Amino acid sequence: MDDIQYGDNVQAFVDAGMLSADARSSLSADQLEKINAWDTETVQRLVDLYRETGPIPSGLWI
Amino acid sequence: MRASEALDEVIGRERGWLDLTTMRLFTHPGFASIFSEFLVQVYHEMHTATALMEAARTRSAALATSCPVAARLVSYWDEHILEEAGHDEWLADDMRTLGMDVDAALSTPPSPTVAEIMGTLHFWVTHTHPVAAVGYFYFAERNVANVETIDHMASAAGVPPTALKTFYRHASIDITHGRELEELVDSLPLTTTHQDLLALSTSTIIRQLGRRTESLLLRAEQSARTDTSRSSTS
Repeated sequence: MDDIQYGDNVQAFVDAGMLSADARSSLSADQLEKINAWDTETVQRLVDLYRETGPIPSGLWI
Repeated sequence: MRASEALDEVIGRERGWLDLTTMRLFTHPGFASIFSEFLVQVYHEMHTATALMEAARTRSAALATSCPVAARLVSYWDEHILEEAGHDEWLADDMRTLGMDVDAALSTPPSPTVAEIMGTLHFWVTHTHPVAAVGYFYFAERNVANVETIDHMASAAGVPPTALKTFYRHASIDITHGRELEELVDSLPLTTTHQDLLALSTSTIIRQLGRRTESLLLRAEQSARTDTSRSSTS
């Protein structure tokens, strides 16, 4: 049973489809703390951008 | 399971922090003020990626007679070096369009985070097997920014889209490169040792990319705080 508390912000990203269950499980405690410290407006901005633009371009560097 | 599917599983597991910090960076109020710094980092990664491919090509050729994976990689690196040639110069041209002093900007050493990423890849290519570099290109070229994202980036950075030609060009050409990489990975006669190295290098690089993006995000936060402080005292 998955009884880890990931926090509301992390859950919002999972619900939006931006974060898979596997990716969520791989976040460190420090990363979870940082994500959950982001304010509601910030989280909404990220979700809105994701809905507007689609896949996250984490590989745009080369 | 195909090798590309196994690699996709690794990427899917590791990418969470990188994805969220990337989106956070692109939506941060301080992004515009560090945009030049962002472009310089991208330039250094693009520029060094060519040197990485050349090192991987040399190492693949050296191992080719005893390793069929290395033998297959020689032609891949040959083709990909040509495909990527000059892309760093495209970006330098974009930087000039934005009014940046490119010679001055590029005369500073690349950041430690860029050195960490490229240094790690060079290490594995030189001291283990050149297949270690494939995961980096597989990830990067299959997760390129689309046109909508680049439109947003231009708007958030306060720059004209015409100054981001490099990113717009990659939005289309990397789709082809990504498909070629999937076919390459699935065509390689990988042993368990190769597969383990590919998974290790890919997961490590994605974590390093996350740290690199986080360091840029911190710079954006610092810049936004400085701007707020200035406006409150003026």
